[in-house]
Amino acid sequence: MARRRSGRRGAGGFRLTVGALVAVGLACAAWALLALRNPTTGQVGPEAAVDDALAGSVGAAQESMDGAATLSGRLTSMWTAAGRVKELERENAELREWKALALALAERNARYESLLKMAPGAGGPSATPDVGVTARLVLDVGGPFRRTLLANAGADQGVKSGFVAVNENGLVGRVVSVGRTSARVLLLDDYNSRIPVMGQTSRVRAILVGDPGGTPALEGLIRLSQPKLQNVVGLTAPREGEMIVTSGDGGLFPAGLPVGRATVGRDGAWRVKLGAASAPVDYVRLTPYAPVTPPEAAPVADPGPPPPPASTREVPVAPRPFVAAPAATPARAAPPPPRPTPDDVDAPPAPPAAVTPAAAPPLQVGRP
Amino acid sequence: MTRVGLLAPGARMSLARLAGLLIALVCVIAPALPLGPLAASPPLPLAVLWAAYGWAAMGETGWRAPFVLFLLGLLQDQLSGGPLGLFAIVYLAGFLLGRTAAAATRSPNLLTEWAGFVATMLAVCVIAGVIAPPALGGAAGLGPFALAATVTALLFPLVRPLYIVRGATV
Repeated sequence: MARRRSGRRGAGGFRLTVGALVAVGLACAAWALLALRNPTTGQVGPEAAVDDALAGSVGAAQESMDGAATLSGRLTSMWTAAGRVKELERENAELREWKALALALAERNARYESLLKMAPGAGGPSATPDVGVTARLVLDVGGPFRRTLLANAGADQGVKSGFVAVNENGLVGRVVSVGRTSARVLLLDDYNSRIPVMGQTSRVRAILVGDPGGTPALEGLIRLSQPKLQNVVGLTAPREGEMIVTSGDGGLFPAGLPVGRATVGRDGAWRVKLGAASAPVDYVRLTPYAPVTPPEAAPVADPGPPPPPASTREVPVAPRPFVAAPAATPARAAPPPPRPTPDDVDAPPAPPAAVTPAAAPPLQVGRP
Repeated sequence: MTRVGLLAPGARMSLARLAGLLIALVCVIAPALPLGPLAASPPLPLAVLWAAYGWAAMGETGWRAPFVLFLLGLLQDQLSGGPLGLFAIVYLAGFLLGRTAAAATRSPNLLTEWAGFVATMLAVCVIAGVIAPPALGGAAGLGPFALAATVTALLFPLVRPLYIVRGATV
């Protein structure tokens, strides 16, 4: 290949050539791309569109591979069809018993919730199992800077940014950006991931901090590291092997979602062995979560005129009686006062039986 | 092997460079596929930096080399979920720094080119450490990137013939 030697040699032996100028220009363009993007609002525009295209193409490829695997499985299972039918019949009979039990328990649970007058959804995400989308993770992004996954469900399927991603083993992450047919899930071990958690038995609260450089758990297809527990709040430390669940603080995640098991890392720091890493992370459930609405966001219709700010109100408070109140039964006469003895002559008169509320001085209650 | 030996130096060079480009492309795409932890980056190297340094050391003066690096960087940004432009800057910085390192090398051989590549990787790590935190929202773990850069530097002598082909002298 012929080389161009038309460059002009600059200081330090660096030749100013077309390639160098193009490289500098493209680097400036890349810098402009970085500067135009606001990292706090998630990805928009061309990135989401390319994500959609990638999710569709990779998803179609995976489906075709699954189809081939299913065909080969069917061909091999033809030899054991009779035994398989008997096994399925036995399992079916067992499942019928479990179904009856499940229906009875569901009915009992509904009655309990009715008796407790629980608000819809107050029991957490399990209370609304019909809400949410099941998606397949089509891209496992093992980049050195970010730990995200691409799921093949997006805005067309009702997914929104902020949805919680869980699988059968626990919390996986959170949707941080959404395209039309794809969504990007930020994993728990991403460096930017901060999740309020607590121990299920010790009730110790902490922040689960993503640590991509931590000891990886080589389990399943997705490599998930063990995040750290920081800012542990509580009288005691978490217990070894204790189940760590989300605490619900901050309003991004519902409380009680299983995250993993607490363990002490080699560096002595508390880490969490993620439950999501105990099995291949292939399908996730993307569920919405509406945090508890603060009272300021949904005020009552007519709460009355609020007191002016920085004002004080007089609140009459009835103090506790100094002595026991007189008996209300009229049939029982009060005992006669004791006769004064010679020693009591100089004593002050006895106090009244009780202090009436009208006589109590009002307390000053400040309002911030 | 005999056939390759019979090829003209120009054809050999083209074949080697095509293989090097394919390796770089595979190393960009493979971490995004559900192939398991061994296909993540790290341990997969940042093979595009091999191409960047190799093309720079070969004296590529046209617009195609930086443009291909720019596209590969954008592709890696897209696949890794990062902001568009981050890896593009990293790879183009590797190209420009590689030109400087190659220009400073008086007698190009394996050791001097390896040393130049290691110096280039160190500088690229510094640049990534400066750019990545603001681009990713204030926090970025540089450990995995440094590990991938180390793997890339250690494997450089093995792949050097694919990226630095000196015609008939090879």
